[in-house]
Amino acid sequence: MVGRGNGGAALGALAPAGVAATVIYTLFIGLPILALLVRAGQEEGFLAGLTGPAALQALRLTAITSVTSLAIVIVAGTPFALLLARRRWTLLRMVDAFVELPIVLPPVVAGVAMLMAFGRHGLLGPALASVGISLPFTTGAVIFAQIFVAAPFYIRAARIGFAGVDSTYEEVSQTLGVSPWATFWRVTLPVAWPSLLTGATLAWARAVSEFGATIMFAGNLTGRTQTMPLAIMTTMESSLGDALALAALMLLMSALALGLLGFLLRRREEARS
Amino acid sequence: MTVPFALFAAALATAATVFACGPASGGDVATGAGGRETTLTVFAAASLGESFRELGAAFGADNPEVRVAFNFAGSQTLRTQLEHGASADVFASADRQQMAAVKEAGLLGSVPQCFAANRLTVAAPDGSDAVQSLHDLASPGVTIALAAAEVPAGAYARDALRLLANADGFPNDFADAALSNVATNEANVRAVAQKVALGEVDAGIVYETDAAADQYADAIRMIEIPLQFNPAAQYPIAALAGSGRPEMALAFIGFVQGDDGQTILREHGFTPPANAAGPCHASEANGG
Repeated sequence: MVGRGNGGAALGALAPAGVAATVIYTLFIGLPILALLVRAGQEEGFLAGLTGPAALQALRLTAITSVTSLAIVIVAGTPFALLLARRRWTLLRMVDAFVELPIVLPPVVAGVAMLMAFGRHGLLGPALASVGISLPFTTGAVIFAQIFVAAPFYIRAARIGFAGVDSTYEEVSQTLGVSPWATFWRVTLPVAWPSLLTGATLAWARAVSEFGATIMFAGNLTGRTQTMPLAIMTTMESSLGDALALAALMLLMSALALGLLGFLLRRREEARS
Repeated sequence: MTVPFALFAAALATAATVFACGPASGGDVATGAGGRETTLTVFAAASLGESFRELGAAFGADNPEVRVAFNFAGSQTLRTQLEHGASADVFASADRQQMAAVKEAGLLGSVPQCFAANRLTVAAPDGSDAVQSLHDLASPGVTIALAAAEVPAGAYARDALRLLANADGFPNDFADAALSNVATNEANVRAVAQKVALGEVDAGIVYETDAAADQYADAIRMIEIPLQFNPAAQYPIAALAGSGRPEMALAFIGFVQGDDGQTILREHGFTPPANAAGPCHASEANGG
């Protein structure tokens, strides 16, 4: 094992900087989070803020849209990622280069781009209108925005996960007469599972926190398009207390997701060793 | 000192410099003549965009040592930023409630003065006939963008709809029906104008000055709201207590209220304030 005890010669000279950076970084991230929780706890009517109709609607909408987005991302992204990991077609490699573009793109740009594509006067707007669909300012637009920004996190992780599965196992499985479908379920998926889970968690978290593309493309309407981040922004301008309650709730959701991910990954590690 | 640590320290130092000296985020800058400048930071309502940029340039031309930096946003956003410690010299709000809240927080350095007034209009995309009259706002299937109720323009718009609901020829449920057509509550009035200009909604309620602004004038068709149902938006301006350059802040306010400033505001469609000489009190704000 490397990295235990005094291992890692490179660390020696860097250790003081490493310790200092760790302390500063921990404070930098930890302090605001602590401050948020403390201030939220001090607010009168903290619970009322959490259980108010606006908060519940935002929470419900966020849960529905983010889970729907994640489901679509997994269903469509898994075969896509598998293809990316297994084939080196020229065209595919070009696509591969653009998969992560939404990660580096400012979300508000994604929102403007989606308006230009799916808006009423967008590229596809008239075609969509001819079949009676108007996307902007609908819950569907929220899901579109979330998929746009969140999908790359899952696809990237899944692609790495699939690439780590030795394809000879899959070939052996197939020569034994197992169908490709069953091979995927019994050979590929069990090995790639941690990557997929990590990617799915990150994608879900990104969908939940999506703000810029949503407010641009889906607008801000309670119960229809106002997800938690939008509700926090809007509430912040009328009641700090309610905004703090919502923010604390979101923090809790994120921490739970991260904790659950860690727990599942660790349990798997233990099962393997 | 090791290299990564030095880099890290440098990054921190850079960040500290940016936070200490930079204009407020989202601000943009109108620069006067060159040389060593003092920056006057003005927080102004989104609807003041073009007019204040021009005012800032004119003020900078008169005072070459001053650079005016603006932060344009919904007045309620600016109020929230100020309440949470944003540093600025002047606050120009689109309504008296937001100004009153800043005053209540003890952040004002001068008595608010009304410097301009504005009227609302219904804005519809040019080339769309879904909304032809005020009555159409309540028609089923129409989509409307409003500023959020917290935004001055959003509050005024809701007042106007309620006033219309009590008017002859309008059904009593006019306001409710129109509000049920609202597809989005935008964070500031310019976001409403943008959604209308893009044709993404059938109508929106904005200030006349927004609909007439150069970037929207071609794309937006105005449907007039008669004066008696049209709450006059009064714009108060005040210096902030935390300003490090109070004389300059007052000089800017004087410039806005003076002939040059008022001419620029008129050119952009603003009307004279209701009470130009006296203070601009929040208590009159619900008068309509």
